[in-house]
Amino acid sequence: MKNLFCGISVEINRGGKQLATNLTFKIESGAILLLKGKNGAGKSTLLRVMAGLSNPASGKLFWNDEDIGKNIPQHYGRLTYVGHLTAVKSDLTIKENLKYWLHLHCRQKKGERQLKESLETFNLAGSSNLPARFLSSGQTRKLALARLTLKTSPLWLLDEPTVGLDEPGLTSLSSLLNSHCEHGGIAVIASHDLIQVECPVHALNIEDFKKD
Amino acid sequence: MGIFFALVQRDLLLVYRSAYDAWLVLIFFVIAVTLFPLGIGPDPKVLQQLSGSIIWICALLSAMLSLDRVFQSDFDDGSLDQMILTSYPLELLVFGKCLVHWLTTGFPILLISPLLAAMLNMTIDSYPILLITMLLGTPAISLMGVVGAALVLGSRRSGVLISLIILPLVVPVLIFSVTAVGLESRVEDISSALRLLGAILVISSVFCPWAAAATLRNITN
Amino acid sequence: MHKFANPAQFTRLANRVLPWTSFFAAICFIFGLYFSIFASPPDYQQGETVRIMYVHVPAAWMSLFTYTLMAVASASFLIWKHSLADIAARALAPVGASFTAITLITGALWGQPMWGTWWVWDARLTSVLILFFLYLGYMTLVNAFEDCEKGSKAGAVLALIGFVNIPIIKFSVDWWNTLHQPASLSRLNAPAIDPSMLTPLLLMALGFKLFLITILIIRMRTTLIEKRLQAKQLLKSG
Repeated sequence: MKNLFCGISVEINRGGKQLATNLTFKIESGAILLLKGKNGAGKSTLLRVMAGLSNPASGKLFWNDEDIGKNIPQHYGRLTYVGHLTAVKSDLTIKENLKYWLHLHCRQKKGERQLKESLETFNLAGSSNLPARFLSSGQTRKLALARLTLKTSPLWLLDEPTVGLDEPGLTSLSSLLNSHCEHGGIAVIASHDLIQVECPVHALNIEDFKKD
Repeated sequence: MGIFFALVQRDLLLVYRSAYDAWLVLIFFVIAVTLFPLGIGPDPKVLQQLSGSIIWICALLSAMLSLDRVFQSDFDDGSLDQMILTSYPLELLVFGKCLVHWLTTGFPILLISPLLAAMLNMTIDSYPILLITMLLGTPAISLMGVVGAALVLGSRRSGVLISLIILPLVVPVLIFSVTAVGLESRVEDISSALRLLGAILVISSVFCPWAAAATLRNITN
Repeated sequence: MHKFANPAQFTRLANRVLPWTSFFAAICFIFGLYFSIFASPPDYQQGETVRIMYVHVPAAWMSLFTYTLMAVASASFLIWKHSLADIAARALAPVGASFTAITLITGALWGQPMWGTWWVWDARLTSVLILFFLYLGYMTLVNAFEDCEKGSKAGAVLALIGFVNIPIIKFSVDWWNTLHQPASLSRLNAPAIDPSMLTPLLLMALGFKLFLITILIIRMRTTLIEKRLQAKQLLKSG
C-alpha cells in the first residue's frame, strides 16, 4: 500500500510570530523526512501541525490526496507521535505506563506478550515493575519510543528521539525505523543527530522557508 | 468504552499513589466547617439554622481546591497530547476526568457530610435531603469545575483563578441545594429545588465535557 | 462582517463615527439629566431620592447589554477568528464592569434613604453583583497568560459560558429572593412608570448606549495603535 504525505504552502506560527511560510514537502512510503533547523526554528511546531494537534496558519496537509483537516480523528488513528515531552507518568510503573498507552491507542485488546515484546525492544523488560520516577532521562525516552511498537501506524512523527539515548538505544531505534520503512511506513523526524538507517532520507530545513 | 475505563483506572491509580493530596481536600472540608461554630458561636439553635448552608459553602470551596490538578500534570508531561491523539471522542475522556474528580473529591465530601451535619445539630429530617443535594450537586460542581480547569491551563496562578471564574457560575447549585436543606423551606420549594438541581446536573453532563474538550483542543493549538 | 475585520478600515470608520456618537451621547445626557433632576415629578412614596433610579436602572441595563456584546464578540472571535472581535471583547470588559459598579454604588445610595441600610440583598442588586464577578473573572483570565492568544481564546470561551449561565443565575437569584423576602420589604424597583418618568429613563438609557459605543471605539483604536507600536518594536529588535 503506497502512501503519500504532503504539505502545500504551509505557514506556521508560534506565539504570534511567523516561523515559516510557503512550506511545501512531499514524502512517500518507505522514506524518512528529516527536519532540520536551529533551535527555535519551528521543527516541533511543524511536527505538531503534521500530527493535527495544531492548525497551520495557512496551507493544507494531505494524506493520499485527502485533506487531513477534513477528518482529523482518522488522521490521529493513522499516526504515532512521540514528542519532546514523553507522556510518562512518574507515579506509574513502566509496565503500567505502557499498558495504559496500549489501551489508549489500540482498540484491540493485546496481552502480556505484546507488552513484553515492546519492553524488550529497548531493553526495559527487566525493570518493568519499577516506578517510572526512577528512570534516567534516556530510559524515559526509550519508554516513550516503545510506544511505537504498540500498534502499526503508517505515519511516525518523532521529535528529537535520540536525546539521551545510549548506543544500544540508538541501534534499537535504527532497526525499528528500518523495519517501519520496509513495511511501507513514513516517518518524519526532527533531529540534530544522525540516525543510521537504510531507507531513503530526505532533508527539509525549516529556515529555508523563513520570510526575510 | 475500554479507553474510557483505561483512563479512569489510570487516574484513580495516580490519585491512589499520591493519596496524601486526595486527603487534603477532605481535611480542608472538615476544618472549614469547624471554623463556622468557632466564628458564629456554639448556640445549637443558630447552628441548626445554618447547618445546611455551612456544609454546602464549605463543600463548594473544598471542591474547588483540587481542580487545578485535573489537567495540569497531563498538560505538563505531554499526556494530554496523547489523549487528544486517540481517535476516541475527547468529550468522553473529559467526562472520565470529571468522574475521577468527583470520586476523589465530591464523593468523599458526600460521605462525611452526615458526620458534620451531626456536629452542627442538623435536624434528622434534613439528613436524607442533604445527601440527595450532595449527590446531585457535587457532580455538577465537578463538571463545571473541570471546564474551569481546562480554561486556565497554561496560565499563571491557576488554582485561585479557577475559583474566581467558576464560583459565580455555581451560585445556582448553592442556592438550590441550600433551599432544599433549609429548615423553613416549604415542601413545594424543596421538590422544585431538587428538580432544578437535577436539571442542572443533566445539562452540565452534556454541556461541560463538550466545552472542556473544545477548550483543550484550542489550548494545544 | 468581514469588511470590518481590517484594522485600517475599522480605524477609518471609527474616526468618522466617533465625533457623532460622542456628540449625541453628550446631548442625551444633558437632556436626560435635565429631565431626571428638574422636569420629572418626585415619587409620592420615595420623594426626591427616586431620581437615583434614572442612573441606577439604565446602568443595570447597560451592564447586561455590555456583557451580551462581549459574548457576541467572543463568539465571532471563536468562529471567524477576527482579531478585531477579540480586541472588542477585551475593550468591553472593563466598561461593563464599571457599569455594574455604578449600578451597585447607586443601588447602595438609593437604599440608604429608603431603608437605612447601605446594602440590600434584593434580586437585581444580587444578580448585578454576580455579574460583576463574571466580569472580574473574565478580565483576570484574559490577562493571566503569557501567550496573549491563549488568553483570548480562554476568555472567549468563558464569556460564552457566562452568557449561557446568566439566565440560570438570574432565575436562581430571583427564586432565592422571593423565598427569603419578608412581605413588607418593597423591592428596589422603579415605581409604576408614568410617561413623565419614561422620557428621562429612555434618554439616559440612550445616552449610556451612545457613551458605550464612544468609549468602545476609543479603546479599540487605542489597542490597535498599541499593537502597531509593539509590532514595530519587535521588528526593530529583529
